[in-house]
Amino acid sequence: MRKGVLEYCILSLLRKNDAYASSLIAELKEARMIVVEGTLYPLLTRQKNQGLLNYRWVESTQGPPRKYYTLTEKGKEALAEMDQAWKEVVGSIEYIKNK
Amino acid sequence: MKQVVNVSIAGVSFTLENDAHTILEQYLDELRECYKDEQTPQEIMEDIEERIAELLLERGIRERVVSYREVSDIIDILGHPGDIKREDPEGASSDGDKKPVKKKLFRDLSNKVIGGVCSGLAAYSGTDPVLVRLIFVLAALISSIIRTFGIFNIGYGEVDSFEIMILFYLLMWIIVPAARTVEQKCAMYGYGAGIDDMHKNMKAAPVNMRAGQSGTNEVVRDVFNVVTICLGAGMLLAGFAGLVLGMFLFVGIELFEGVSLLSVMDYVELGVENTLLVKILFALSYTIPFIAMLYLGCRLCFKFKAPSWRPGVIMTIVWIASFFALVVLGVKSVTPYFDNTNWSDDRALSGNIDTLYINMEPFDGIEKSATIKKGVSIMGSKIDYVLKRDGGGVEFIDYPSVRIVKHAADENGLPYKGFIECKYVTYDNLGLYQKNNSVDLDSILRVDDSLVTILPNIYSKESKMKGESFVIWIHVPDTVEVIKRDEFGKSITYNE
Repeated sequence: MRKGVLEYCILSLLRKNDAYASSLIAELKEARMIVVEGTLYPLLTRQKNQGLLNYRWVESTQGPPRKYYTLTEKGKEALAEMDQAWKEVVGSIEYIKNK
Repeated sequence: MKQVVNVSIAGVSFTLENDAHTILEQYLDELRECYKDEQTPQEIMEDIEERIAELLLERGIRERVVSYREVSDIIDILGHPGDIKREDPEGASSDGDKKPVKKKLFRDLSNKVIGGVCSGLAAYSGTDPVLVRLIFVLAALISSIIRTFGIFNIGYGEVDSFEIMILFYLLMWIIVPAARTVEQKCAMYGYGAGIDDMHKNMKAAPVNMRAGQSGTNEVVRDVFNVVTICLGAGMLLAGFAGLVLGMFLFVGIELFEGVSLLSVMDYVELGVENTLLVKILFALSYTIPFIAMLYLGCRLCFKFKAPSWRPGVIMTIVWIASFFALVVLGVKSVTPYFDNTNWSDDRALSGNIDTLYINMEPFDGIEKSATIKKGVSIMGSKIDYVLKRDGGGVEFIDYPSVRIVKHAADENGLPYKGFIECKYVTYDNLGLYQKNNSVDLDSILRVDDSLVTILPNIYSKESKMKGESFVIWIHVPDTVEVIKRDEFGKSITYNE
């Protein structure tokens, strides 16, 4: 059921503005999408390998430089596709429930 | 007192308690094992180490030693492999949750030639559609191939593999459903159709949607495709056959013995002095249309398109030019321009004869020769016989036309004085022939009192036709009887 939904959430979070992994974690935790943080990293790496995401290194005042994630063009296309698919799924479920 | 370990995590140095270091090491090993099937596990591990460093720094641990308690807190935040798998069932190493979608056979409309049967089979078997199509065509042609090469003797009663394959294809077309929805399209390759899978197959999906919507258009397009391919196959066959036939014609292989006596080039070589030009023109105007047919066939059947339009245009121009030149050459050499070059000579006939005998002199090897229909004009000349010599050479044999004119006595009652006049006319207006203005009359006829012997003209590669045609007029008094014997000794009487 949750298949692909986490990916969709990550891309959606990046839609408005670019973010560090830590802020993505914070938002996903707040939305109760994830409980453990280790889940996010393989997902981010996978999406990066698929060319949906990209990152740049940003120096931080304390500690090592951190990855600052951003959506690629391909990622935007995939997100639009997912929005459509999501709308259809939600519509179908609403229809079934209200029947 | 506790032992400590100095470690560098993501480039930041930390001092860990010994047991804290042990569980952290153990934890990282677990994670490494968990991510080992990912595409870039090293990168994930680096990210996680960075996060660990970040979390430690957040706790203000810089000057002091990291305790066991704090490390185990951080491990809980990041989660053990089991927790991670539960939240991310798509992970490469998670095998419990992920059910591979069962592959199903569909017709692949987005990659079809006729009905998408072959491409569907290719998707199902995970091979290239082109390979499946090739195998299909070969399987259809197998009986023909066997029959052609005669490896086995196949009786007429047995079923042809061509029919079987056509039937098989039609059945598959009817029975196997087309992949129309995203799910079907993905199931064709054995993919799932989740949101995550969808963007993997983003390219395939829109094409598929389009194919799924058009119902009647699809049928029209299918029929059109079949017709196109049949047409293309026909053109390929015609082009190929034409080129092979052309090779026989040019090389003059005696395949058509009995159908056509000579190769086309024999006519050219015996008839025309400047043979190279005619040969080239003929070869060009013959070959180019068949090459064009081959190309069109390839284009219709395999959707092959020439990378450049120039060769086609150049070939068309060359063809038009050579064909036009050949037509002009042909028409001009056939059109009789009698007054182009003239020669004539005459010989008196003896005055006191009652009967005049005209014999056609037989030529060497007359019994082996073949008759060409009398009066057929080849390269502008009338030819009577074709003779193939044992050495392989070809000769044309032609007799001059003989016309007999009878004259009455004049007003004064004096008898008409007979004579023989020989003329030649050329049909050549292009300068293809060397003019022969001094013909020896003795090489054409002999006159011995009451016997006129007419000699054949023999043309060979060594002594070519000059484009001339000899006409012999025999003027005799009307009191004289004329008996003509042809080259076989048969007599013909003239009543002119």
